[in-house]
Amino acid sequence: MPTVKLLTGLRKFGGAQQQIAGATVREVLAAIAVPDELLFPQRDEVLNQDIEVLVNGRNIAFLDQLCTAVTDEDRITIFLHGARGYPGG
Amino acid sequence: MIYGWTGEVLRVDLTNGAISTEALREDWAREYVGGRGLGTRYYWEEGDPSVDPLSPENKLMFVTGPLTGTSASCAARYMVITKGPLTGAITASNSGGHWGPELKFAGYDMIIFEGRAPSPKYLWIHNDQVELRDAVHLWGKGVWETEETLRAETGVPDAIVASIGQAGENLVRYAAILNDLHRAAGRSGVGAVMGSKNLKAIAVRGTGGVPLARPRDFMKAAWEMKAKLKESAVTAEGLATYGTESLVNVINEHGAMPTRNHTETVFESAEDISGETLTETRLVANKACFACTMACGRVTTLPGDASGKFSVDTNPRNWNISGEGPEYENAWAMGADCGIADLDAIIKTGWLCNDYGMDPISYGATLAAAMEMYETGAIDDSVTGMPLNFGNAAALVAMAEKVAFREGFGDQLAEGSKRMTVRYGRPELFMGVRGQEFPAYDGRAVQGMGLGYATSNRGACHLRSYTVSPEILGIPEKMDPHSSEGKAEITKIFQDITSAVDSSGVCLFLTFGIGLDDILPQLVAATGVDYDIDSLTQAGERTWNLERLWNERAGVGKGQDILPKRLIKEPIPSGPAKGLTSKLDVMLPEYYEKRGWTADGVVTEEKRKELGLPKA
Repeated sequence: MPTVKLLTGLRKFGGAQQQIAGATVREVLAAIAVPDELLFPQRDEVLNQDIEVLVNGRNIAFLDQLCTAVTDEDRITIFLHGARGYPGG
Repeated sequence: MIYGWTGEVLRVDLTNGAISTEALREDWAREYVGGRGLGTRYYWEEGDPSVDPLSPENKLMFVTGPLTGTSASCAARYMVITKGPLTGAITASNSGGHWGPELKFAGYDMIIFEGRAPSPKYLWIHNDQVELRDAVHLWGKGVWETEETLRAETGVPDAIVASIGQAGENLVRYAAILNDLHRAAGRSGVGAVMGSKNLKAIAVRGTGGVPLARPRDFMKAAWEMKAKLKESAVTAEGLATYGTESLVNVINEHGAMPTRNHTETVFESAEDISGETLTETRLVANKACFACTMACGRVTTLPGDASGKFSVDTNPRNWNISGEGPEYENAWAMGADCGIADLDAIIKTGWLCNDYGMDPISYGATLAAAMEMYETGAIDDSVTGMPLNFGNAAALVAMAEKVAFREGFGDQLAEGSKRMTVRYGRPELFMGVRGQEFPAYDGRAVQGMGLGYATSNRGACHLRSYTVSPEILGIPEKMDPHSSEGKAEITKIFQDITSAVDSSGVCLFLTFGIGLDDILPQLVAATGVDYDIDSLTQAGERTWNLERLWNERAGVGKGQDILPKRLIKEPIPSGPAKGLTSKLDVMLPEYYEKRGWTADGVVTEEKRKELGLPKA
């Protein structure tokens, strides 16, 4: 099973690291304890803009988005930032 | 009349003790907004680029912004402008806390120090009572004792003090100026300039206010901004919960955390020094600066055995204390960059840096370079006086004291890593730009940051163009951190906007939650100047170009936009960014073009005229 690491404001939903079953990022997200309404606030297929998902350190925005395939060796990192500003601090 | 200002500039000639006031140059305030921009304009006029930064001829300016001291969120900032002894470049180091607002309340927008006092002095400002006082009894004391002593001595418990510690007195090239015990104008060695002038402290108490052009409009705009800050997970909750330390895991997971002097970019023990761990194990409370709605400051403690674990012999009063920090950059420099996973050692050393008054980024990064020299045989115990292997937490704590007092090998560390590595024949181990050490993002793994470092006027700095926003956090749009595409343009835009924010008097961290367009209405209502986004951004561009022109005259402009060979030639060995080097050769020409400069990076006459910049 892929290793999932939850950071920052998501840490409370599952500790530092856990093994979660799933063949794609979408399946893994469906299986973690982070509430669906936080991951998909519009209750559609669009990930919360405040949340970033990495597979082996690469943002899924530059991979295959939620369809990105994952294997047992992969590491998935999910963090909440909620930044809005421009240009950042 | 321009509002948002008191209209008074304090000028102090330390050589002869003369103190005078003069009218603020309103035309410059209007054109450069304030803070960093205004200070740069004054320094352009008065700061000789050829002087030794530690000589009496160098000037030292403390400059507020028009929003400093108002009820705008996070309107706490003041800038220290001078020629940096670490870099030889113009520097603008800024600090929060309460000192900047207090200066405005006392009736002054800025202070210009000139010359050198014949013996240690401090400046006491109590509204219109301004006097230089003897500070011989304070010389040799740390920042914290200095603040306590001055509040007792002046009999004004609400006095706010900006001071130097032993590092500034001993001319450590990255000495800082501290106020409110733990808030620092940290980088480039502004504290050493203050020390070179025999100026120990500036204590201020003011009971006035900041005049606003349209108070009702201002309050409306201020409350609208506060509401927006509550909507952002970062500014409403994230910074308060985890502080900037929350970035440790985030950056490390991207494979962008420089480790062991940038030989790697993934730190295997990041979790141990992360914001999550700090919050769970060592955080006592948050602390906020003046008018801050975020409270990212970390009040930390070392409970039980950890208190005495890293005692420093000459400072027994430090054995059982609480303090503040670390912030992300500190935790990185004294942690991952040195291969140190001991959070207690990092916390303790951060406190020491604050009390001694020195920049933990440059200290940690310089120690990391020394550790690589040690591990590769360039220096040994006979030079260092103790083992300096990567991961040596005890050395991190002990060397901080030796640097502040310039004892033993600390005397070499106090020179910064560029001079130190040259001295021992390993200049390639200096990781920085214009003599200033990198902060906590690898310029290969986050390409835009590499360009930002190379072109930063005050030397390597993350606070000049924080392209981590688009490259890691995806705002205002997601940009691939591994690609150089579009980075020249976004770097230029960020540099200009950041210059404008820095000039306004509010904290740059606000921009995690809001944009320049949100700051604008407050600035307009406060000053009565009809800025718009274009004119405000152009004011930022004006500041950037004037800094560049000043650096050109000081010999640290064109030809200095370079990164260390390690970032250009040595691919990242492992992790998510494995195989990457900086594509600076691609980005830099494009950046010069976007700036409207010549192909070798010189501000053109056309650009000078377009921005209304003064002639040399």
